[in-house]
Amino acid sequence: MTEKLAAWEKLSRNDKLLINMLHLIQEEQGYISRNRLAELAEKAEVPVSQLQGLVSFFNSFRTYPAGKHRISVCYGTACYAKGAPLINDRLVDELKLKDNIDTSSDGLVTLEHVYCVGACSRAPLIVVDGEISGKIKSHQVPLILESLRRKE
Amino acid sequence: MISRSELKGPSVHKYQVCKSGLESKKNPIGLATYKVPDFPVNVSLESLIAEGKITLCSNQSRINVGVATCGRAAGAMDIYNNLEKRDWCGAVRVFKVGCIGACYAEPLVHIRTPEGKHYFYGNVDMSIFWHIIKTAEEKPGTKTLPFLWAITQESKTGILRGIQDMELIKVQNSGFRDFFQPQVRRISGRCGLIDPENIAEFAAMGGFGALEKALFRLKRKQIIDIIRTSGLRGRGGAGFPTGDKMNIAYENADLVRYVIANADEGDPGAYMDRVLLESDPFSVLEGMMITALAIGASQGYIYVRHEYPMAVHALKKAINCAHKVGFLGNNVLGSSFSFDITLVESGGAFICGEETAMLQIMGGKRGEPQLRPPYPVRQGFQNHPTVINNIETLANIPWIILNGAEAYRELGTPKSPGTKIFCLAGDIKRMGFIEVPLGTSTKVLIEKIGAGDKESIKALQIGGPSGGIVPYKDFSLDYETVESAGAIIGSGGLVTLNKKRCMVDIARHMVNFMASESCGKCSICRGGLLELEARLLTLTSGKGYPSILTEIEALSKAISSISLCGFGKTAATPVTTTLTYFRDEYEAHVNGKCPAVFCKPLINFEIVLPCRECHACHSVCPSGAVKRRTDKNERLVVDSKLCIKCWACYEACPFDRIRIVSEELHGKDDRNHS
Ligand SMILES: Cc1cc2nc3c(=O)[nH]c(=O)nc-3n(C[C@H](O)[C@H](O)[C@H](O)COP(=O)(O)O)c2cc1C
Ligand code: FES
Repeated sequence: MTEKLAAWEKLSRNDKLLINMLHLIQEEQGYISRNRLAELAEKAEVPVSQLQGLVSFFNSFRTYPAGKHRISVCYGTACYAKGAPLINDRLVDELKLKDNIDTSSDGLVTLEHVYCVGACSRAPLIVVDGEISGKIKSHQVPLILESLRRKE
Repeated sequence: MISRSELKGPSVHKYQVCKSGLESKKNPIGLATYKVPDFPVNVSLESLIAEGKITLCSNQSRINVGVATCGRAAGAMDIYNNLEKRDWCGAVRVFKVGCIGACYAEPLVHIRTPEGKHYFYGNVDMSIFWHIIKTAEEKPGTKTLPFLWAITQESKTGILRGIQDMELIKVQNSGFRDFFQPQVRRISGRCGLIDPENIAEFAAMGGFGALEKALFRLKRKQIIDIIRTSGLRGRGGAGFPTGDKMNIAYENADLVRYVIANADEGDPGAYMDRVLLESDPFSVLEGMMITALAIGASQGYIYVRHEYPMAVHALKKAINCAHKVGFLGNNVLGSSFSFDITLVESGGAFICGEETAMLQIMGGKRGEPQLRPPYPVRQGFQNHPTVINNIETLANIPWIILNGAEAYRELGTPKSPGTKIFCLAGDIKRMGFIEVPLGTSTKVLIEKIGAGDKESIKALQIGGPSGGIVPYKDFSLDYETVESAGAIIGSGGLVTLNKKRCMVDIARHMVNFMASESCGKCSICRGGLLELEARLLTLTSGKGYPSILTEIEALSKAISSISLCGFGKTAATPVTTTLTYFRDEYEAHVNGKCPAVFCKPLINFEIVLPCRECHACHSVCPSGAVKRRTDKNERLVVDSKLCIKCWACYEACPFDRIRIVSEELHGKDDRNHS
């Protein structure tokens, strides 16, 4: 049993919110594993199926591991209108992603979409490992990926 | 009325929670007359205010760097780090602040000098560092001035309650003035001027004054009556009268009540809640506390979007800090009112902004909206009366309590009183977060504040994905007028779209978003939206057929009439509004042409003469489609067979010599009649 799960018992009745626990679990490994989910279900005395329902409901919970780096392309209205699909298509191309697979085969990058991070004035923008960069052009994509590779 | 227990001049120094508290002790500039009393009681508002003034209006220069999400996206953290690590010999302090609203000018640096002058620098980069340093050291030379955007002066030096207390004394960048002049900053006046983590600076700028008044000078019923007469309407979309909602909870027989702040700002293009939370989080807490006091709640929740990590961070800090100085928890400010706030972090689902869906999530279930009635205000969280309010609504409450309902109604229209925050985005020059009286015209917002070019603007997308896309024209932005134009104010996002944006593709994108966000409870909603998206995709990929528009119309109608909740009922609005106002674009797509030259299958790229042969296009083309023609004249051309239509050449050409064309496929019979 991890520390994070142990926190559940200490919470007051008002603070016992399953969704907050799911965020804590996801923070640990970047995704929510079946084991963790089962442990939480036991602690919180709810059926695992209920937790699974909650996890699958949200875009930000993952049930399988992500790549080393995460790139989110903003697909909010402003970013979309200003060229987010061009950035996305270029990323898909460069990372050689096929249908429904969001992580490059070398495990380097996971590509996701986010619907508006609230900095529409810098559209179109991407979030690379939590860092936002605005006014991106599709031809900058290879450079961004190169700099991630160099970090290895 | 709650009796006030004795409060003797206690001090924030006892608690040392706020940054300023710690720092001013280390470096007690201006502290000469400020003694640290030695009894450990909760801090009083007066001492917080005094503490805040020390840093806010100090006799040192103060540099504010806007590092909210929009600032960071423009690289403000580099600016901050560079300024912060400089050795100022104790003469200058550098602060991280939120967003003043002029997001187009990020990174924005603003300097306050001891005599109460404020110097604004926009679009800051390393090249004007020197000028910022000189200004902060109070040696602005003539060389500094060309880079300066504006200078303002506090109307009384040392008194600063918001941006409205400053007089413009010099303007170098007229756009900056035009951006602020039509605005009235009632509830967003502190944004970008204070350190959002510092409760003392909030108090020094008039914060918590309303809470104190509500706690000690008003009866609970009076609070509700003030809000009711003010006519404040919910800013979350529906525009329900906030005072009435409070009253329903107040009169309920069930004495366990809750307040929930809805910070699940799901509408792409609207970010006012984010700015308020990142730049002035305590004002939202204050609004929540007053609401809780009025309705008799002792527990509140803030349901915040996971996509706003900075807002989550600011809220966590603010709640902790308010706890430590006794503004949250038991016996707030020594009164008999006790209140706690718990954060709930959402996980990225648009529908959870809907109040009943949100309650489902908080109960640990999937976020499927429930039939109303019962409304949450009668039977909400754990079946107790629950007042759910939007963040902006809550931020209005302290202003109304302090200034009164009459003053509130001075601005706005009779049916939509007060000010409203709008977020300008899209194809205009000056994007950002603005506060104007309700009923201000779109012309003022888009052309004056936003500097949009009237000729090139085609449409406005108002009120998020379920709002509408309407042609750009001059109309008043109040709840009734916008509704009669076929859209909704919603949360107040205004995305301007110019002639280069394809309405069919934007509608398809929004339907795609709505389909992926549908909870799936009503099959017409999820299934119908997927069908609708497929039809629109047929159009944008050039495979349209004559009857497709009638099919699209029928589907949109079915989705909005059969779906149960507000989401499904409005999900097809982007399609119905564009189909009404931009039908010619749909018809062109049926004929295989995209008038806005956007849809990939319907366009081709060409290099037009005279081409300067700079090879920029050639070097960025990822597919080798830009080639040198080998026959008669050796000019560069785009090979349409190899072109993947990534626009890289278009974006790279410094001379605008790339043209995109779309031609009708008249006479071609290879179109797919799916
Ligand atoms: C699909 C849907 C999404 C919504 N999203 C939000 C939202 O993101 N933020 C919000 O404050 N209200 C949202 N609402 C409105 C809420 O249900 C609720 O009416 C509102 O929070 C009440 O607060 P107010 O009276 O202050 O406006 C949404 C409603 C619907 C139907
Ligand atoms: S649409 Fe991308 S940040 Fe808002």
